[in-house]
Amino acid sequence: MADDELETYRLWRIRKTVLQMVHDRGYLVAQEELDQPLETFKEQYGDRPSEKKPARSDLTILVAHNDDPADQMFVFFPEDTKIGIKTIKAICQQMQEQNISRAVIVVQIGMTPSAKQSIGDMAPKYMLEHFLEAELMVNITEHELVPEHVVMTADEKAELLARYKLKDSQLPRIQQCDPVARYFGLRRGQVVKIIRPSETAGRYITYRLVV
Amino acid sequence: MDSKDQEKKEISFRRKILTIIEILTDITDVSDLQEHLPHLHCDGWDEVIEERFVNKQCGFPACSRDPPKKTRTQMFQIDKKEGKIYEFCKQRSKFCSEKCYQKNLFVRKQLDEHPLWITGMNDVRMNKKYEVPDESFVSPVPEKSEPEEDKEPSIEFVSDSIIAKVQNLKLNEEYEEPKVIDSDEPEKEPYKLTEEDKDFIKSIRKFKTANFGPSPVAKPTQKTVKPKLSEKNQQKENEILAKLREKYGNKNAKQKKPPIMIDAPQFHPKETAEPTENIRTTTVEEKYKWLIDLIKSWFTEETRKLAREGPRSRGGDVEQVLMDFLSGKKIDTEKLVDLPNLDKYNVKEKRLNIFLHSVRHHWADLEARLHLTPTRRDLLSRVATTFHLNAENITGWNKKELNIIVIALFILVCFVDVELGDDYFKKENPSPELSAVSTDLCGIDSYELTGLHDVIKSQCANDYSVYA
Repeated sequence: MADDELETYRLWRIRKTVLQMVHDRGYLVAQEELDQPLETFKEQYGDRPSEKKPARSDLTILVAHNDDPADQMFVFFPEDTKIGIKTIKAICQQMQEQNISRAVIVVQIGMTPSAKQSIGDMAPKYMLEHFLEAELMVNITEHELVPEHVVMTADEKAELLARYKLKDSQLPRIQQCDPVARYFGLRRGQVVKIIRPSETAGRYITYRLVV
Repeated sequence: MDSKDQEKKEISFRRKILTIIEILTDITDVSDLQEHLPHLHCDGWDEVIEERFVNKQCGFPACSRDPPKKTRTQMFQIDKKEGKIYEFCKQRSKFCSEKCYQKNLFVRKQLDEHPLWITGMNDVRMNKKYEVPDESFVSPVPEKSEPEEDKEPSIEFVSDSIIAKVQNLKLNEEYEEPKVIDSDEPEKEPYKLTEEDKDFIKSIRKFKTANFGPSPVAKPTQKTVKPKLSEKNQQKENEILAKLREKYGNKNAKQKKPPIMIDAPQFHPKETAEPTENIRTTTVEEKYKWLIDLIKSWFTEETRKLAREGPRSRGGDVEQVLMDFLSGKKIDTEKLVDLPNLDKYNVKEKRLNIFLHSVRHHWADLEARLHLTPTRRDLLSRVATTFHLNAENITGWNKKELNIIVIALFILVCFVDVELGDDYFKKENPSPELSAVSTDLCGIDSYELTGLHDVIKSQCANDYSVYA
C-alpha cells in the first residue's frame, strides 16, 4: 500500500534523525545504525506500519552516554497521535523503573497543554524533551545555513569566562527553545560555541549562553 | 521578596489546577465534580475535556461512554440546498452525545473566566454555588441527527377521498352528475358543492376559458362509467345543475378574449351519394354531380386549349412566345416573368404536387390495368399543370371516389392525346377494355362512361366556344 510505504519511509527518516541527534549529544550509537539504509530498516522492523509492523513502540531506543555509561537516555515513540497526561505518566513510570532520568518523546501530532505543564513540573527529576515527528524528518544541523554548534562543557565555559574576564551574563544569548538548542538538549546556563565561515576572517566564532 | 512569594504562589496554584485536571480526567462520580469546580476556570475545563478525549473517553467528566471513534478531518460542511456553510465543530465531536455537550456548556457557563492564580482563592469564587447536571438534565437543544445523513423527503399524505374529488371535478358547462362506478360499493350521498367549491370552480373556469378557450368534450374514459343514481338523486343533481347554469351560464358572454375558432376544412366529396340500385333512373349528371363540379373547378382556359390542340403544340416557352409574337398576339409580358415567391413555397407547385400525390396510386393502378406504355404517363401531370387548383380540390377523397376521379381524368387525357382517344373512345364509345376496368374499379359501366365522356367533352367544347 502506498500509505504503508510512505509511513515506513517517514519512520525511517525520523529514526535516522533521532539517532544522529543522540549521537551529536554524545551518546553511544553504532555507526552502522547511523548509516542504516531504508532496506535494512524494513528488514529489521517490517514495512507495514498499518498492521503494527513495526509498531511505534518497537522503535523505542535506549542509549548510554560515551563518558558516563550510567547516564542513559530513552527515546519514546508513543502510539497515540496526541498525547495527554496519562501517556506522560506512563513514560515517567517506565523511566522510574529503569532508573533513567532523561528521555525524548517523539509525538505524532501534538500534546495537550496540561501534558506540557506536567513535563515542566517533573523537570528536575525527569528530564523530558518532546519533538514532533515533522520536526525530525530532516536533520536541521545539516542545513547549509545552519552554522556549526559546539556545546561547551562546564570546564570550557569557566576557562572562556576567565580568558575574557567576563561574567556569563555578558555573553550573547541563545534561547532554550531555539531549534538547534533543542536539538542538542541544551539547558539554561550552558554555553554553545558557534563557528561560522567568514569571507574576511575565514572563521568567525561566537559564544552564546543558553537562557 | 514580595514578587518571589507571588511567583511561588502562582506556581503552587498552577500545580493545584494541574492535579485537579488530572483528577477530573479520571473522575467517575458526578458528585465529586462539585468540590473541584471552584478552582477551575474556563480554559482549565476545556483542558479536562481535551485530556479525556485523548484518553478516548467522553469529554464530560464522569461520563463513562466513549466518544465517536471516527473523527472527521473535513473542516466545513456545505449545505447546497440551504446555501450555507457550516464549520465543523471539533469540540462537539469530543462528546458521546449532544446531551453531554450541552451538560458541558451548562457547567462551563458557571465557571470563572480568570484562572485561579490571577484571582486567588477569593470568597466570591470559593463560595459560589455551582450546579452540576446529573442524569435528569434535559438538554435545551433537542438531539439532532448528523447533518450528513440523508433525510427522508417529507411527504404529505393526501387522503384518497380528496384525490377522487379532485379528479371528478368538472368545469364549465360540461358539468355532469357524479356517477357511481359499481353497484358493489354502497351508494354514497352525492358530493354537495359548498360555497367555497363554487368559488373555486368559478375561478378555475375563468382561468380555463381565458387561457384555453371553451373546454373540449369530456374525456372518453368517463363515458365508461355507468350512471346508477336513484331518481331522487338525479333530480337533486339536476337542480344543482340548473342552479349552476343559471349562475354561470352567461359567463361566456363576459369573456374578455373570444375563443380561438378554427374552422374545420370543408370536406367536398362528402356529398357523394352512395351508389344506389336504381342507377338507370338517374342521369349521369345527377349521380356524379360532385365529380362534374370538381372537374368544372379544375378547368381553365389552358386546359381547354390543351384538350383542343393536343400535346404536340407545346414546343417550349420561347417558341410559344415567338409564335405568339409572329401572329401579332398581344403578350402580357408580366405574366411570363417568374417573380420570386412571396411565400416560402410556390403554392401552385405545392398544390400540384399534393394533387398528383393523392391520385398517384390509383392512376398507376389504372395504367397497369390498361397496359399503358410509360411514355404516355406524363400526360396526367401535363394536364394537371393546367388545372386551377385550390385548397379544396386537390385531396381528401376516399378510395372509391379516387377511382372515379382517375377514370374521369383518364377520359380527359384521352381528349388531349388523340392516339389514346382513338384507342379507348372510338366514335365516342368507350372500348370494352376500358369499360371492363372501370366497372371493376368503381362500378362505372360503359353507359356511364359515355355519359362522363359527354360531360367532359361539353366542358372542353362549351367554354371553348365562349372564349372563342
